Amino acid sequence: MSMAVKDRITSIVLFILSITSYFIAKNYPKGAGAFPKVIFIVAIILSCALFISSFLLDYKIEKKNIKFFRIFCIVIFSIIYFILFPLVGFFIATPIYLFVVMFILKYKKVYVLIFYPLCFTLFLYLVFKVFLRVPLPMGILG
Amino acid sequence: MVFILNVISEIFSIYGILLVALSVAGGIAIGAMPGLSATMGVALLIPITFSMTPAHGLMALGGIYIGAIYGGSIPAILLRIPGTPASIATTLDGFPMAQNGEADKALKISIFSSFSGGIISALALLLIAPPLAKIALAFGPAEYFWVTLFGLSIIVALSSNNLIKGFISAVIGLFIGIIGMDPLTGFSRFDFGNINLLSGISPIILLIGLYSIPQALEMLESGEINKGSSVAKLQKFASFKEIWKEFCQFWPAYLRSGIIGTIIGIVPGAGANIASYVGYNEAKRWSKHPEKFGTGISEGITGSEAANNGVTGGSLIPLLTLGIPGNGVTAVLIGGLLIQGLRPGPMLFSQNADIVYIFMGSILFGNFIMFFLGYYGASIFANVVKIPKIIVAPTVIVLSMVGTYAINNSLFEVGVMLIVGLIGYVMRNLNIDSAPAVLALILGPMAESNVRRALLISSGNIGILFTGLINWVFLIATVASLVFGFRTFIRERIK
Repeated sequence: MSMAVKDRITSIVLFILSITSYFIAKNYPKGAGAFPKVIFIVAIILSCALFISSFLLDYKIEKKNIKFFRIFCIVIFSIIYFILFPLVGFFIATPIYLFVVMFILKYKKVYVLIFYPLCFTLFLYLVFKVFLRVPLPMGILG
Repeated sequence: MVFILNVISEIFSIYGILLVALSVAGGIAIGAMPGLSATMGVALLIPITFSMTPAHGLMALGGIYIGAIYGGSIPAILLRIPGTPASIATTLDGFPMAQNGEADKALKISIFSSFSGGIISALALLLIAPPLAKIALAFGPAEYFWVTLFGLSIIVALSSNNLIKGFISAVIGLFIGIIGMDPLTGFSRFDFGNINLLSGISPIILLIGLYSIPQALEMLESGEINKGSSVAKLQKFASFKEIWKEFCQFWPAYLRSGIIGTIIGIVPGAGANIASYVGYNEAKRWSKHPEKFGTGISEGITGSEAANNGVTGGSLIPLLTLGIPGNGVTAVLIGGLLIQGLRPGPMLFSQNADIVYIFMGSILFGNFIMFFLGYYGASIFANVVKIPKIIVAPTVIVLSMVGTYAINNSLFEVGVMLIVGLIGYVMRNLNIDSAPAVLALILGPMAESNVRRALLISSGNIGILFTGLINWVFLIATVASLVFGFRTFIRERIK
């Protein structure tokens, strides 16, 4: 997808969102609503400007070769990690997360793959649990 | 006198020295790691400083800041990969020098330059900030409104190659800023029925999300991730005498770049990356051998490195005197001050003078530590580039999650941080710079509460915004920066 097309989609999404938000802000009391309303009017104008400019601007062609599989993996595993760590405990979820991400993205050195997640988790334990005394979720360990 | 002794004894306590040394070293390592920026380092460290006293917390954050800006030059020289955007101009002459076998000399010139830039700006901070804070005390809500507007306009004009997108980014930041209770009436806005959003979203959580998640994802986007870069062994060593001779010969270049950096740092919106370019170009313009620039000349490194470290102290001046963030790092620092219960702005000097002076003093002292570490240890820090990205990226994500959790022990906030991070990543891929959003997030609520307070004072008369010299100065400056922005945009981008 070219940047011009992306810009047009962005402008349409922004337009819809700011119109909706404007009508939400319209119902707010006078003082509280004024500033949001100004912001949304500006946003509406900007979305139109972006749409029009996508036809006028000189887009330099830039090729960005994004490996979507990698991004997809790390995003999905980070979300799973976020859901899991309150349940099973931070100090169990963290090494598993690090190991799984590195393993799936084909990191080869076995000893690093095993020891790095453990050592880093130990480091976090010392900093956040022992030194800073943050009540991190312990899950099954607690 | 007692006050000064107090400040000095705090900085030079064993704990203070260790803290500054450790954070400068950490900063250099973060800066030397391509993909990790000074802003991210400060953002990730804030949760850790949370449990320290405000003065110690600020000492650590300041150390990270100056260290990271310098650290970026190490891979810029050795590998032609700038560790932070602030060192892009350093690659121009640093890498050719390394190729000519003068890597050690280039690294030493770089630390000499960073050190002199840092010292010039730290002294400027110590000398300029206190009197400026006195002037700023006279600012009323109307003046503050214009100052915040000026800050916003300049960041939009400078930071983006597409002005419209810069504004869109700012609007996104402004929107996030209004979530939660209205500062004056307490009316809840855009809380989506969620009780966690009633008190708004703490800026620091958004900053952690915006500055760490997109970077972590971007590291994995392309290229080799399972192997780090290799660093060649240094061949020829440069003696201190040789570097010193060079310094004595080119001292005006050091001084000039340091001052340029400091001034650019003071201007809100312009950061270390712009300073390094301007510093480099000026060094070239004033040099006796401008034709040699780009082939590996030490003046080129000086031009860029003295300027980017010059920004450090300069950018703290508007932060401490007006409470206005000038760049990403200082926006994060404001977030850090707020969680410590300190309100950045001129009152800081009267209410928490000890903390402010300890902070400023530690920046000065931190530069000496940086010099020591950089002079003797640059080649050791260079080893961080050997760490594969596949290890760094998930580590950053874990750190940002645990850090966010540590601030309020709230899982909800960790979720918000992740969502904001993903939005930031999408914005990056749409070429929407996140810097205006970040500053708008901090400046927006300031602008709103100040303009409404001004109107309350004048009982609704809008004329209060247009009376007095200070108001007009900032109004004209705002318009000027917008006109400048529009002109460059139209000239450069329209077909």
